[in-house]
Amino acid sequence: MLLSFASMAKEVLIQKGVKSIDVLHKGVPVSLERNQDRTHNIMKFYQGTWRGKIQPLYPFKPHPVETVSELEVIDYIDQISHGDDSVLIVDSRPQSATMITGMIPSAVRVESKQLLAAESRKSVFELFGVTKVDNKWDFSKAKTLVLYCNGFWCGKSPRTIRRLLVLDYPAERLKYYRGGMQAWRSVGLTTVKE
Amino acid sequence: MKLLFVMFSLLSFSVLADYMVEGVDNKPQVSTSDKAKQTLEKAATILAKKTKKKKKHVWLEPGVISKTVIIEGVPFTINRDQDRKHLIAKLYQKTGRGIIKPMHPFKPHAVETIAELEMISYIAKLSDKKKDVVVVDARKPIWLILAGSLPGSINVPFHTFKKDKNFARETMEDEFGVIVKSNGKLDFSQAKTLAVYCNGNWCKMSPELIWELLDYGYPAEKIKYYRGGMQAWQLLGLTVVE
Repeated sequence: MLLSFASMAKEVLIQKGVKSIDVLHKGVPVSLERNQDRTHNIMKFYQGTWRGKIQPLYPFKPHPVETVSELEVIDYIDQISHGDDSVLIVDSRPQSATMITGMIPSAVRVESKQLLAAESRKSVFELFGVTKVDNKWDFSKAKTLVLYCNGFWCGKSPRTIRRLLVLDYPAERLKYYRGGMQAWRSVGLTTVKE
Repeated sequence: MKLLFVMFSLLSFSVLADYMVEGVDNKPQVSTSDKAKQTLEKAATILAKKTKKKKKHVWLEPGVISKTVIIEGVPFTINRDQDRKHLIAKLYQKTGRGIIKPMHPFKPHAVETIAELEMISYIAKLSDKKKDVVVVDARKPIWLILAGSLPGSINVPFHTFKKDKNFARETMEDEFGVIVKSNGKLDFSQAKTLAVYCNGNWCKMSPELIWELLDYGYPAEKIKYYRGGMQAWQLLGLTVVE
């Protein structure tokens, strides 16, 4: 009895000494932490092992697109919540997916197909801090984008990154969170609705 | 079932045809058996096409379903579980373990972080003549019983390696290609490349083993850290050895 109480009370930490951080999602405060229930399991959808194709760790070589993990993503969310608007977390999945599995706090949803048509590309690029100067895209103020989708086996964020690279988006301002929603949820981190 | 029947009837028909042709005139036998072969091949391709349509593969990479590696002389196939209803083992469904590890926990040491496809290529290198790669499972032995291990891996429990200096030195000498000199110093010039893993991105066992190796002076560029570990491996339904 005592033992079980002790194990229940043991906090689930993000990092040594860090239980939660306060972040903003669309201006609303969210406590970003791991599920404190030690018997909690990852949602059924992400228990499936058969989906997609395995992505390498660096799918965009020789482009220097950095692959990041949960802790780096959390650092970026922290920066955004402290008013840094040079960083953006981008969810590359359709709404049908984010409705079921949720999103990473502070993320915005942009699909790769939105980069195809000129009109939608313009509004997406506006969001990314890219403007048109003399009929050319000016990437000097382009934001650092942290892109993710479903996980190791998901091709949606790699596709978005490839399209951005084709459009000359600076590779060093693109970060690939390969673990995606599955890895995020596999350590029980907070998700939000769009 | 139906297709099998079709194949069978085709086969019996061609045998029958063979017999009949032989009986009626003296056509050379080669051409008739060739004919039978052709019809059989046709039936086989039709069958293959039908079954291909029915069964959607679970892929490693685009166009690659499985990779065969040779471990200690025995061919071993690594693929993902082809069952589209397969779920990850209960053990790895839990979300509340450990603390999250960064992507590169050993900075500024040049220990490279790797993922599944890179790990598979290291496993494939195990059969090289040079034998300069070791896949190291850093977990306590109980985990191997509970969750299995990676094909070709050897178990070097991190806690024993840390506590027992003799075990550590012997392991490095016997398995990792480190030369222990007569004065007790370690020579890493022949050291093998280690691909080290444990349970996953929240697990401290392989990082602890790697830190210990770095303390001994093991060259950082010869250590690879598979951060996803057994959990990511199983999340993708990849082949596990019991």
